[in-house]
Amino acid sequence: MNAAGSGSFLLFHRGGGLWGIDSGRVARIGAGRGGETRSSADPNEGALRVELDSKPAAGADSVALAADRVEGIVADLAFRPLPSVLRNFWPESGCGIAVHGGRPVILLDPLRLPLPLVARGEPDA
Amino acid sequence: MDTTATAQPFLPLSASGTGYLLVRAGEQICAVPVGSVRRVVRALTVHPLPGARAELAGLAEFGGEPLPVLDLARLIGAPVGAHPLFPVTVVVWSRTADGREGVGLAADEALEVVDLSAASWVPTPGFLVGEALVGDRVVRVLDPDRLGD
Repeated sequence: MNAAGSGSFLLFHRGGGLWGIDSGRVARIGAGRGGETRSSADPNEGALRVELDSKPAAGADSVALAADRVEGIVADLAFRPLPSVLRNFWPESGCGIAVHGGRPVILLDPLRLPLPLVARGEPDA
Repeated sequence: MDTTATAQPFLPLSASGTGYLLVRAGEQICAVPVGSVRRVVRALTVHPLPGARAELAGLAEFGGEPLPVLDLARLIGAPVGAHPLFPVTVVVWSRTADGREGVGLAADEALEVVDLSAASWVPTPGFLVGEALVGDRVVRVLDPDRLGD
C-alpha cells in the first residue's frame, strides 16, 4: 500500500506523534510493561501494547507496537503516499500519511514497523 | 536594501532576475525563491517523529493536509542559539518527480524580498545552491526542489 486511498486504521499516540495501523492487523491491545504509569526509562516501553497478528520483518524483535494512548479506530481514513521530503529525512517506513482531527498521521506498514515504535519484551500477565 | 553584488571572491552562478524572500534562521539569513513560497504563517504546531534526522522538526497540519516541517537553521547549518523558538513557518513548494509537495520551514522571521539578479553566488553542495552577498550580509540560497530529490 503506497498510493492514495482510504481504509480502516487503529490510531494511537506515541512519542508525540499520531500513528495508524491497519485495524484488520490488530490482534489485541493490552497493558505494556510500564502499565498506566509509564515510569520506566526504556523509550520502547509504553503504557499499551498493540499486538499484531503477523510477524514483522527482520530487525524487529516483537509483533507489538508501544503506544502511549489509543485514539480509536477510524474507518475510511483517506491517505496519500509519504511525501518525498519526509522520506528523505525520516529513515523509517510508512505506507501513507493522513490527517485526523487536525493532526497528521503516519500510517505504518505492518511488515516494516519503525523500530522506535516497536514494543519489546512480553506483555503483562 | 542594497543588493549590489561584490565581485570577488564570489563567482557568478546565475543572472536570472528572480526575487528571493530573506528568512532568518538562527544566526544566518537564508534566501528562498519567491516563486516557491506558498505562505508565511505563525509557527505551526509540529509533532516530532522518532528516528527522524535532526533537520526534520516533525509533521504539522496545514490546509487540511499533512506537512513535513524542517528546521531551517539545521538545514543550512546555522547556529540556532540557546533557546530557538522558530515563531514562523515558511510554507514552500518543492518540485518532485510526481509534481510538487508542500514543505514547512521553521524559522525565526521573514525579513524582506530582494532581487538577487545582480548578485554573484558561490556554489555550495546539498540543499543550498550557493551563498550570495546582499549588502554586507552573506545569505545562503536554498533550493526547495532539492529537498525532495
